Amino acid sequence: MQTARPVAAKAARPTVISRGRVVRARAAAAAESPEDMGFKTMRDGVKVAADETLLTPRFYTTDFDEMEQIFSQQINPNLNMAELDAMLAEFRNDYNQRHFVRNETFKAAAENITGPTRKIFIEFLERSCTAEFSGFLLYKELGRRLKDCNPCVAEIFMLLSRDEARHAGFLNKALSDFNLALDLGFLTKNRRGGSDSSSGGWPRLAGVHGSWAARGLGLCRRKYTFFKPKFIIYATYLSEKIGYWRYICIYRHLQRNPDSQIYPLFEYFENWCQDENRHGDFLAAVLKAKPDLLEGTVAKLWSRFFCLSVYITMYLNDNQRSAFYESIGMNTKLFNQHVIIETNKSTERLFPAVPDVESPEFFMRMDRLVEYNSKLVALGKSDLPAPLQSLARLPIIERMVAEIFQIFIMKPKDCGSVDMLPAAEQAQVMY
Amino acid sequence: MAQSMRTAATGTECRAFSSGRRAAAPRAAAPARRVQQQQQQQCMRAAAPAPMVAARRPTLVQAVASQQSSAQQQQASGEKVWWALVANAEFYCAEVQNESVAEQLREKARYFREQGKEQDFFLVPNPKWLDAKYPAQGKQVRRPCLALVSTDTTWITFMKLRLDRVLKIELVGLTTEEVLEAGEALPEFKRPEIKTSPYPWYSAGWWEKFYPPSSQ
Repeated sequence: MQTARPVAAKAARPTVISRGRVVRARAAAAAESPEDMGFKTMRDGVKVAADETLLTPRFYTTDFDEMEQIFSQQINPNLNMAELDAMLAEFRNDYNQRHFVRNETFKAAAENITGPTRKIFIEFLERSCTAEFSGFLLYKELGRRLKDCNPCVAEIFMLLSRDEARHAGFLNKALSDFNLALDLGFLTKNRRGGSDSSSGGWPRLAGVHGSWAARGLGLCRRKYTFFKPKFIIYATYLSEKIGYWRYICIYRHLQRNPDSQIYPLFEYFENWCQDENRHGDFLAAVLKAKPDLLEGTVAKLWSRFFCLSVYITMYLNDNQRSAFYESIGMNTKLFNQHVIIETNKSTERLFPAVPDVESPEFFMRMDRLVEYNSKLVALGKSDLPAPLQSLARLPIIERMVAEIFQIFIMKPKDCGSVDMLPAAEQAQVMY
Repeated sequence: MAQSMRTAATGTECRAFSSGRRAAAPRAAAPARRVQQQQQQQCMRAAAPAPMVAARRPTLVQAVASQQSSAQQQQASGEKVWWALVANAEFYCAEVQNESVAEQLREKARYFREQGKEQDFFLVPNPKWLDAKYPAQGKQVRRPCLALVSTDTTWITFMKLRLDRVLKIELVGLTTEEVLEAGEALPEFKRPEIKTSPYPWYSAGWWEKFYPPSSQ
């Protein structure tokens, strides 16, 4: 299971929530109150977030000093900036500046979603919103930290955080249709308070924890998962690309099946996910500017590792919540397989190696993982005493680890960008 | 309700643009500093079109100087310089992976309309110039083929990054008429049925909407 743990795809990095994060209920006049739907409340109108599990993604932080070194043009005078400049121009265009404007159909549509579907909808919105917000926090911090050493890259990160804030805000407004809201503003306000000090990323983030505790609203400290910069770059590339494929699949499925379009949010997905795709392209440009991350045996191993982490996380998460995708008329397994195959094809244009997801063995083993995972979930819900639960979990986890290992050692596909080939080989490529 | 939503679902191209209001990020997630910054960026955008991105940084100017010299000469003579990304037509028209090109070109055309700009990109089927002027590169391209052409070199750099498996050619010395001159029409493509796909292909022929006006 360890392999699946660290990375969570963006759309598939759903709940970036630590235990005890609060969701405030907006109004008591809900069609169904949070309590009615079985959400735990810590006190009147304040919802306790779902328990954290192995697959629950988190907020990320990284070594910002090392990031500065990676992007510093003084340290790396040969940093290939042409593609990064092209990305900056693309983000400045701001194609979606006027896209995220709600219309009057949202509220009524939300009120028509009732029963178990309402509950899974809220969960979907909450997970998506926090995932986008997680991106906002990380990109914003990077934008701030890189301002002096590489203004181009810093501005791109700022524009990325602009997009993520828009997405998170839009999802949070959608939550308000369900009479709930995540208190993003509260968190941001406290971050800003912390960022006025001259401290670095870590202490600043720690400052957030402090403020939360001081305000007495969060029961636990918000956890930030630390990743080395190069891992953040691989992982966010994949997160953005898989995010694009998820959103576009849902959009195009609903465009052709309007009867399943039970909530207007999905109508915004086509333009929305172009942002995700472009974010991925930017991270591709970053990787190509640092060729050592794309060449050699070690890079190949990390590439495959991150692909698998992201794919497995999404596959297990989504299959655990197949009721959501079924509520909008999708077959969760096929949808996921399509997303993984296409994300892998996008990634083939960049990473030096990717898993062979089109081999029949791949999804056969992935489906076994889903079975084991649902056994784990069932165990967690059983009445067994905790020590016995842990004991019963062991053989299942052992099977999962073995299965993941088998997937990892499957023959991978060698691949990569044509731009990375030596000139002589480039002249041989057939287009 | 279902009725009104269905109408909204079909109107995907023209949704919600009537409001001139800025997209709503959460108020608290868009603190005053950010708004201010965005305003500054907007001012910069207004004052500085894409090429300024390059001009602002000396290192880059050096890096692209050699590439641009021929382009600059051509510009001095009043001609636009075109760039092309060429690949076999199946790549553009019959791969699920590249259906995002349809989305991108629609988005870009919409953006140009909103900005009141003239479209500076086209798809040219079997361009005449490929064999006539670039026989060596032409040997690297399977036929039938399609070329995405634009005068915006920055955008072409971005599209090359996105598509990767396309041949980038600077069309030095070619007039706009020559660049946009199409050869034989593309055949109908057999687009395979994909059993995992939750949606059908985009309607065949989406690419024809981006052909140069002369060949439409």
